[in-house]
Amino acid sequence: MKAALLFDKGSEQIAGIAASAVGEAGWSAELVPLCGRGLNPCLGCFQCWTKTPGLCINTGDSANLIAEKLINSDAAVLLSESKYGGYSYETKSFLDRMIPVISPFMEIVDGEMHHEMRYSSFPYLIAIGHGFKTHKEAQTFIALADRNAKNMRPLKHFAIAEQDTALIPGKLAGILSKELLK
Amino acid sequence: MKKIAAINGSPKPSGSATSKFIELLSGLTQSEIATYQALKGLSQEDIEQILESDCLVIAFPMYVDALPAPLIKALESIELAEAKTTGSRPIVYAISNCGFFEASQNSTVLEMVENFAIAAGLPWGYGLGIGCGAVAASQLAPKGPAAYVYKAIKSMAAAISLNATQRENVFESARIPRVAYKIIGNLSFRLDARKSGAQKSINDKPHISQ
Repeated sequence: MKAALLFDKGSEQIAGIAASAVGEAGWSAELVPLCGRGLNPCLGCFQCWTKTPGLCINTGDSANLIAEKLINSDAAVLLSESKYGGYSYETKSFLDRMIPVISPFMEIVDGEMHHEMRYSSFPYLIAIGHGFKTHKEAQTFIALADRNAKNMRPLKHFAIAEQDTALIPGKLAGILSKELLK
Repeated sequence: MKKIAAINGSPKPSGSATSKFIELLSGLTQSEIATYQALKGLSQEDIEQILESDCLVIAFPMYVDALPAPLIKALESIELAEAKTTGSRPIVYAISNCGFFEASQNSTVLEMVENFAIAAGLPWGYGLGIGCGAVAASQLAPKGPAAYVYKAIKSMAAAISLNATQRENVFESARIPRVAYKIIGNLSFRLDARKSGAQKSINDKPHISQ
């Protein structure tokens, strides 16, 4: 089982330790930095849905390559500093560029309108946030992870809102070894 | 007259639904709203102007259930500057719109704007979440399918004139049957794809070998 570990600048220090923990849980981990050269923000053109379906037309960076890694992983781990209960600028620039991996078409899921899936399956989604200023921000983050899962439709999804970054690798390994290797 | 600033958080440089909502609010408040594009980034002077305003309207499309990335950066720069100033504090209002039918899907992203206001030490007015965003923006009028969205923006104009704070968020959508909205929406994606010659590849899965 293969996990893609996507991380922003604020999570650089724990990404390596998290990757080791993933290995100890019996998974292989690939570290995918969203910082450094970074990804350009989404242009809002929606051509990834109607002109080059499934691919972003903004090809000057590695967004399409990261999307390919994501889709071909068993689990996608988003390791991010949180801003206002959402993701950091870097992580959100990445997520905004990932809409080509879902379909433009709408369907009704659990009584609400959501996107159809483009691929027959989506990797398990594990959203990990840290750096919350208030308890309310942490609650917003958990709600966001649930909403994201309704559109991306992984078979299972998990959210960890954890102030103490030292606890994150252990919690992640726990999910991978106890919840997902059954 | 109130001094109103708005941040347009749309990733699109022009023609966004968000700009239509700001225009209507400007008309209904009878104020010229100074609008800043998050996409361009905020200069120190922009931030000073924003913080000197009586109210700050943060208007944006919901992207992946959250704030579009450039808007996060803009809000962070305001938070950072606000920590250094001791002057007046604009009341923050939010207008979020989503392409989904249900306006309530904006509830989580409106929490993020409120969380920003708390973090920046700015008073929170309330948020308006709009469903069927593009339809609502194109039909904004006192009558017709977006009449309730129009009324909700009118109420926000009134709230701004009263310096209202800590109100419950409001959710409004275009009043059309959901099934019709879904069919028309899906058809419009197919028509757009046909225009770019992608009608046959619209369901392609480029990242897996088929």
